[in-house]
Amino acid sequence: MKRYVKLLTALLAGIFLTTACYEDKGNYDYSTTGDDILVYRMDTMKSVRLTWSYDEKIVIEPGYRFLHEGVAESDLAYEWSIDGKVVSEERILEIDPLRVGRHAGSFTVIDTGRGIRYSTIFTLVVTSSFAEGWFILSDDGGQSLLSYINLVDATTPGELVRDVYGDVNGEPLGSDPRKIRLVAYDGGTPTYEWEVLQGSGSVSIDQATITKVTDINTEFIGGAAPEGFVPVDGFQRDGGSILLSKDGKVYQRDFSFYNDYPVAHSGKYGTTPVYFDGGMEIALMNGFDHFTNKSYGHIPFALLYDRQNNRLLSVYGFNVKGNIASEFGTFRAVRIPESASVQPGDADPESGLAFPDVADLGDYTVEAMGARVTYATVGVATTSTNILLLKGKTDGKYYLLSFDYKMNSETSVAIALNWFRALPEVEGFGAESLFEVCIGGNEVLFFTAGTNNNTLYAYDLVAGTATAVYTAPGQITAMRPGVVDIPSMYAAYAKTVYKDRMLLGTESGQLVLLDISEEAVTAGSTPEIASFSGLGKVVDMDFYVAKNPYCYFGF
Amino acid sequence: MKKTIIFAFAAALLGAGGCSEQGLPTYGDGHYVYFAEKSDEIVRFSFKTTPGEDTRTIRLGVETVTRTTDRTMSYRLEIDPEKTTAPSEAYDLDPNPVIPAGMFTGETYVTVHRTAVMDEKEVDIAVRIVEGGDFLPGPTTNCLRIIRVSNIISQPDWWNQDFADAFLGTYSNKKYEEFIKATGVSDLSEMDNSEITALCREFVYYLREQRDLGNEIFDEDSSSMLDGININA
Repeated sequence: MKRYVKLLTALLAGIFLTTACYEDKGNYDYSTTGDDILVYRMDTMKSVRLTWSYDEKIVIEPGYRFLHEGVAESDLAYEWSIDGKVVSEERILEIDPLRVGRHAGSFTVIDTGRGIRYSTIFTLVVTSSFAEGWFILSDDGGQSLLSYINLVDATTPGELVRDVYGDVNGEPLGSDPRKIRLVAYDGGTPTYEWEVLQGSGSVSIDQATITKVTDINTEFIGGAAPEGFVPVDGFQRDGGSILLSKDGKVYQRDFSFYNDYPVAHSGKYGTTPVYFDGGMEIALMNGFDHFTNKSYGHIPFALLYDRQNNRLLSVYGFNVKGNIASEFGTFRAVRIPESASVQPGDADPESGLAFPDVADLGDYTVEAMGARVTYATVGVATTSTNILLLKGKTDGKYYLLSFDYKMNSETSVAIALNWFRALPEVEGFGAESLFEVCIGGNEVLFFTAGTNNNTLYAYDLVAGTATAVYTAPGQITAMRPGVVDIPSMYAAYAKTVYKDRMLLGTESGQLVLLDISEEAVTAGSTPEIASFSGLGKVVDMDFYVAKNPYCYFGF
Repeated sequence: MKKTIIFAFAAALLGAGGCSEQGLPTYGDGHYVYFAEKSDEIVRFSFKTTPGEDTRTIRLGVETVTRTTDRTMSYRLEIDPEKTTAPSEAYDLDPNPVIPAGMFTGETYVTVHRTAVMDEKEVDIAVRIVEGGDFLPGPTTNCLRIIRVSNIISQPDWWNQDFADAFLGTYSNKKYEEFIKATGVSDLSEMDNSEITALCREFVYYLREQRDLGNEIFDEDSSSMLDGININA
């Protein structure tokens, strides 16, 4: 008898489990024999929109029909799930905006009388209004102002959105603006943030929505930045980030990793500045934040100019999936190896000038830094061709030094001197002048000179000649090339056609968009495409392109 | 079957009774005071972890069993001479331990002074609650606390293999001592990863700076202390 009871119990349990499983009929987008209700696939319904802007409320009216009589509308219940969570039990989905990106959704009609569920799945794409365009940081009477110009097409910028941060966040950005930087957190889907560095306290801003993420000062241990900290630059890669303060001190943090990817804001900056052998006081740095592993290939280091010891340092910054052997943050002195074919002191065959030593620049100081990237690919360290603007301590003249640098790991470093030459003497070139090396595309660098630094010059890196290509209505205080070609194995997947543009900003708050194509530069005139005004002194600018353009670089 | 059930029930009752006998004794109307921690919870520290300090105050929590809480009540502490190996000049007991009015718990302290013998070995200071003042001593398991003190450094629990691999490398007393000197911190056990990372980097910066000043710090095996550090900095 007991045996029969056990068998009966097992049988009942089996029926119960079978029924429970049967209720989950899976992801149907068509009917099968025996179904009473057909739920339409969302992406086949003409009136259903599955792409929404980041600030739009999402409303979707689904489609379904009864295949057989005997099912009453009043017997139905509904269930909407987004990213695995039930978000609505109404027939029509009406929910608040979702974060930017792709979201997996499902819609289920439940025949409550029979307990049967009929489902379909769909993908919601939430887009950003800031997917491609310029971000401009300006000083409007001491107050920081973040503004935005989107792109309409290759030759047409959209409208200038003044104070886009204030519009989105309903609060002022801060004061004493210094720099705007794009930082990336690598992941299955990389996420990007802007960092506005400013004296009143820097902020992180979500790139897609321009909503404030955090106050950067609170990301120091103890919740406050050290005394005297005024951030002016930084560098971030997978493993961590550094911030450079105006006083030449550098602060460092590491990120935690989850599933091989860095967790955004998971680490805190130490409050003791980095000390490297011989001490250090960093005046300039050149990081490659835009070169994330996902998007462009990778440049896993930043170069820093230590004015205290008149030398270059590098900091290695790539974590191979959290591999402890390649942790972020090893500082090293940049040195030309004894085995290199060109040594410091050797004469450049063209200029006849003796190469300076990057480990001890002697009679030269570094005034500006830039770099070109010769080839981009994913997951492989890329060589950067660095171009330094040097100034002679004794003659007061300016020089250009080119050298290749590559770090495959913290210890695998390749460096080679290329050339060393004098910068053509141009009237008005000095401490106020701007210096910008095009990271790719045309082999030019731009600088400002002339009366009140209002003239833009293009320096041909091949010919070694400088040409005035544009005169601005006032002193040029910021300039930034937008998207430029970088040879890449992924050229075919380029998403933007908006190439070879430069935005200039002036002391008096004007913006000028220039055509810096090879034809324009060669012709000696970079024509004005559009202009804007009313921003206060333009301090810095940056360009953003939606992720994975692969062969282009928004710098 | 019935026999089995009755036997099991009796056993359960016996077990339950056994458990109740392990509970706190009944103290009637008396006032009892005892240490919050049991006697085998030894307080251990080294003056090496607080460079420059020759005196440290160790605070010990106490609890009471009493019905009267409307006035400040005193109790008495004594050194247990049989369990104490520290010289008398190494400690001072709280001269007036009390439970404040309205409280059922309190705190007493022992002031520990660094002495020469601590440079060579750990010594114990055994503090016992004895009858006196308004209180009788409570459970015997909680009437004694031992403070084990030295001026010798030893490997802390948190400096395990994982910590060594990720941060400061193989433990040595000298490295730990220098770490404390550089950072002013001796205990990383309650810190998060960022705090630990920052302190370890601070130590690296200190070692680099000392080397620049001509005072390179070497480990116990005569190698540069910087060479044995694993954290990237």
